[in-house]
Amino acid sequence: MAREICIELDGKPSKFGFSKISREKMYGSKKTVVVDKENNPCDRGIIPIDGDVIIPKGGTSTLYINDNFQMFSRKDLEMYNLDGEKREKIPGTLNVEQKATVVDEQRLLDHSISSLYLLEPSEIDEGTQKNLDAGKILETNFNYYAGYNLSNLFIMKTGEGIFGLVGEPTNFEYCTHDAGEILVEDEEEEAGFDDMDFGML
Amino acid sequence: MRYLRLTDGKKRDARVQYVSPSKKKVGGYRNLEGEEIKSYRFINDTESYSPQKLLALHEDREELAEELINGDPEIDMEKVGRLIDSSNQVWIANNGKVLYSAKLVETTYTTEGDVKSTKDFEDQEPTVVDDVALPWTGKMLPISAVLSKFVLLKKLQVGHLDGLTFDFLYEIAKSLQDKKSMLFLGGGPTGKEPLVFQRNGTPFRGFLEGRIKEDSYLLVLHLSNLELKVPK
Repeated sequence: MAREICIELDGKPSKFGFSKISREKMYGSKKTVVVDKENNPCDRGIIPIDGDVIIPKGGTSTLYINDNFQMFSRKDLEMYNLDGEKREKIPGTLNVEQKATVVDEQRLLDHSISSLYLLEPSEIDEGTQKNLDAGKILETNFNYYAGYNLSNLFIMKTGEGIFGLVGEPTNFEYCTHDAGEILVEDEEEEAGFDDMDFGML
Repeated sequence: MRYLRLTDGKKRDARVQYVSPSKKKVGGYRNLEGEEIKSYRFINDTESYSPQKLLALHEDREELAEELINGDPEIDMEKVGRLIDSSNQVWIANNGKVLYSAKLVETTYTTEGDVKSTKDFEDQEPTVVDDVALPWTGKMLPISAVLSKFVLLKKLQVGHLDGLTFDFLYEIAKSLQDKKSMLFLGGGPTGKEPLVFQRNGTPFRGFLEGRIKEDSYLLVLHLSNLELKVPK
């Protein structure tokens, strides 16, 4: 069964097939390669700080170990947050109906976008279609694979088609300027010279 | 702290700071007994024992095959399994030697993945630096139009450094909010060049968005290098 983005808006389900859009597909790409004197491409490698060995690409492995150098498989590990609380793995959202809501533009502006998908509805509710046709933005949960972080998916329609933008919140806060304690009275007084003690300078 | 120089509608410029969204602090792994587990890098292969090196040492492939069956000539017994802490990146030529002077070549590919052109790589200098002001292009675009045309991938928050730059940025944010628009922002003297924040960094188009709330402001530089359209 093909994987689909499934949403539910006002209790009505809609399903979308999706394909990723990247810069490479849109404009092509550029790649920088290091070559030797004969213009043969070279491989990236590393030299440890001791400098006694050259390690080719793929010549290292990451292992999970405890203080006694006992190894563990990643699937046998659990994620904890900085407060020492266990984090639950969030299942993938594809083919699982996710609640969607209509959001304003500011909500989308408050997210950095990490992926873009072209959506093809395979089943779309009339209300959802009307919202998209009216230029409204829908927001729902998105997790391509099971993981510890849940992303937000914004669905919107333009003259080109229906798009899904996956984003993470920026959490920017408004800036204020605290000038500090006001030492001088706001009320202006006639300037006098009597309180200017030059002797203490 | 990173800085840029911004110009307002009155052609006045000021040095201000900018920050990226703060990254989520993820925590760490523990095993089922609750012990803290850390990840480390270990050596599993070295250049001297690479397949190319082994092939170069044995003209007779049958002989190499025999050695591989009878022993472990592909494993560097002294080095494999050693923990790596800090390391330096190097480039390795086909003959297994480290390059002391590297030449960079840039290849451009079409959308189908075919090679379009190849040329010597040239450094791209940043266009966003704190001693050259980004011009006020005056190109105001309605927010809804920007959202339906471009994918605003990255965001930078622009902030003040002192009381004067607070007023400067507050006024810019207010004028953008009042016009319900974003200001197109680019590098170079006329703002037509892309925004490049570091040497050989990714070029972006910029859109400045402003909001105010009582006596506070939010000024965000949205960066995009992708249009919201279907690839042809």
